[in-house]
Amino acid sequence: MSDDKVDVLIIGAGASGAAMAWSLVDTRMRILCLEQGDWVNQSDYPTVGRDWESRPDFSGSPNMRRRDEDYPINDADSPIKPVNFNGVGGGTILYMAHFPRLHPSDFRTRALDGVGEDWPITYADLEPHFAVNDEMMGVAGLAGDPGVPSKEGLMPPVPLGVLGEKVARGFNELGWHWWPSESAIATVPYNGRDKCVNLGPCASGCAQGAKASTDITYWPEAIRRGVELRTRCRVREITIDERGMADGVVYYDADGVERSQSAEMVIVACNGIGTPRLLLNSTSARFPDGLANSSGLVGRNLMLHAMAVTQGIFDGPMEGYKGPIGCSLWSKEFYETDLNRGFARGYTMEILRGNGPVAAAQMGMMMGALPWGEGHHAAFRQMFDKSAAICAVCEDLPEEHNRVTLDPDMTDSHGIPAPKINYVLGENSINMLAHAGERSTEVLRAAGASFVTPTVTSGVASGHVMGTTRMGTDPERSVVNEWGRSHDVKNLFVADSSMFVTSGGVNPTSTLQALALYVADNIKQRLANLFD
Amino acid sequence: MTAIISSDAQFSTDERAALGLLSDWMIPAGDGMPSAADPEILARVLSTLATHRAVVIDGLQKLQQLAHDAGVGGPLQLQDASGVVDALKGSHGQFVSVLQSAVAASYYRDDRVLRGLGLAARAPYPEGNPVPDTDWSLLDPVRSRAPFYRQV
Repeated sequence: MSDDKVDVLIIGAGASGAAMAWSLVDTRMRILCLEQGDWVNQSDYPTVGRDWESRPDFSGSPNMRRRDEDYPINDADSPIKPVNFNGVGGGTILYMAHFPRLHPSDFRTRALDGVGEDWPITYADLEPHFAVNDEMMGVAGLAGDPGVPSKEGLMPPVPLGVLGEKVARGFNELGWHWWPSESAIATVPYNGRDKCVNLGPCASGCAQGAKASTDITYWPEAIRRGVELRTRCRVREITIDERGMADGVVYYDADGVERSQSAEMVIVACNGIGTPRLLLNSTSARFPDGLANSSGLVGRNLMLHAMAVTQGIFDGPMEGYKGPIGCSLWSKEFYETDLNRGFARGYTMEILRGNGPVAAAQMGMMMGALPWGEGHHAAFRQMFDKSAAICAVCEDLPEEHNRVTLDPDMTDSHGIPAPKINYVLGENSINMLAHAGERSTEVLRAAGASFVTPTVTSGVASGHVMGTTRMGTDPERSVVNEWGRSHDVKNLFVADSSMFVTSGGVNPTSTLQALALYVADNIKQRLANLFD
Repeated sequence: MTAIISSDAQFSTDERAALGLLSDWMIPAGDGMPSAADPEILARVLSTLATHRAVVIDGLQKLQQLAHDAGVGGPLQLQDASGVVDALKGSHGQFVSVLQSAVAASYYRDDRVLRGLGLAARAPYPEGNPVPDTDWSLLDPVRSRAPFYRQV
């Protein structure tokens, strides 16, 4: 293993690190990526085994998964529990592959609605990068959705199934918008990937390889073109030289040996929690409060997406466990601001398919709907495969008190301080959640649900972590500039959802990858004076 | 007799019996289905619970105390299942939650149970599941709508 200086050092091989590496390879620079996790062998995914619904090693929660390469997250002071995956592919290994983009209005919330902040870039700036990313990941959907800007090159949409069609009729009954979800799932053979065969639980990984995780999309191409990817290498801190420029990192290799790696430039792509954690752990005499933190905003403005989950129970079989669990249909009916609703901004309603028998039983018992004893079997038959759920992904406004800090006691397996999250729902979110729950209930009833459960808004898991090193032109109000470079350290970049200024009301992966490609493009265009 | 796998051995004979009792209370035999205390299923329950040993032992101590309060020799002599379960839920919610999760995970992957529910007793991969094509005329009312996202 060489510790020779590289031109570009990327930390994190997930959704954005992969896109960044693939794009920068055009420069012929020497690019190295350090990833704390490992490759996942597709034959290891839970759906190949009989215990496919109960594999804690593929849980989204690092606190339950507890792999050696995971770091714990102290989420005791947050009603929303962050989920992630540490390995090549990062969060895309376990995401549901819902692939909406932020809307044009999401980049102008202050100007349009007087809330949040405006981004220093627009939807139009990202549009070409969205298109490239869609091609690399492979997106299924249906053109012509009146709720979002048009796009091309989509594979056929994921079929709705019994459940989706039933809920779609409910939307039609109310005259509300719905459309098949855009999904990063191959519905036909795509770039060497097999088509989806409806295994079901995408959120524990795709053994079929139909779901677009970056270990099978960007990385093979990036490595073939010369990028070096070192796995099981956990970065402890980014180091600086006497000029205050980043000069490399200190990391632990697969054997736990401390090593250093020097670099001309460093790009952090560790997600909205991992990125501020690393910067806050990178202290020095020059940066005692953490690297790139002169604004004091590293870790602040954490956005997790408030979510309202409402479940309807139907009379007949829904076949909900057949097909990609997260990708059925969406509704943009309440996405754009209407202040008469009692809140600014809005949400996407995403219709989820049902669970397999284990998850259905676990959830039923947890919610008290499935009794112990004599009535258990009848109750299970009545509820299993009879449910449909709507998850409303609500725009979460940036608030400085919602933040990532370093836990004073908790560490990962290398003794590196773990992140702690402090997060409370704002009034706008609370009002939006209530509205979303009521509207979801209406849809489910219109679709024929005989019973609708109370909407759940607390304890919900979210892999949508954003805003903790936000981008902007003002160094006092942002951590990185309008093309991802740190205001404080001229050869340090961020390339993930930490840069989000606002959250939108959609899953962030498509946008964060487009953002990484946008930053990479700016780096390529500015190579002559990149650090000026 | 079912072989005791290594993780089962983390529980004593009495502890295994008590966990079997609770599993049976949770999902008894009936409706053509086995009890969750069926030896094959219980072995999986015990294996899962072994990773939560401290919480489980704490819960079982409470169960023992409830038996003592009821004036019986031990948990296996307890009669008032619902009262005991309510008491456990009230004071040892984490134990009940862990137990429910383990029993559900062990029970609803059992071949007999899956077949009893009319489900295939197999892993999802590689066969997957058939999902019929969608008739997209269902979208006609939405297609007629003009774009309504905000142009910026």
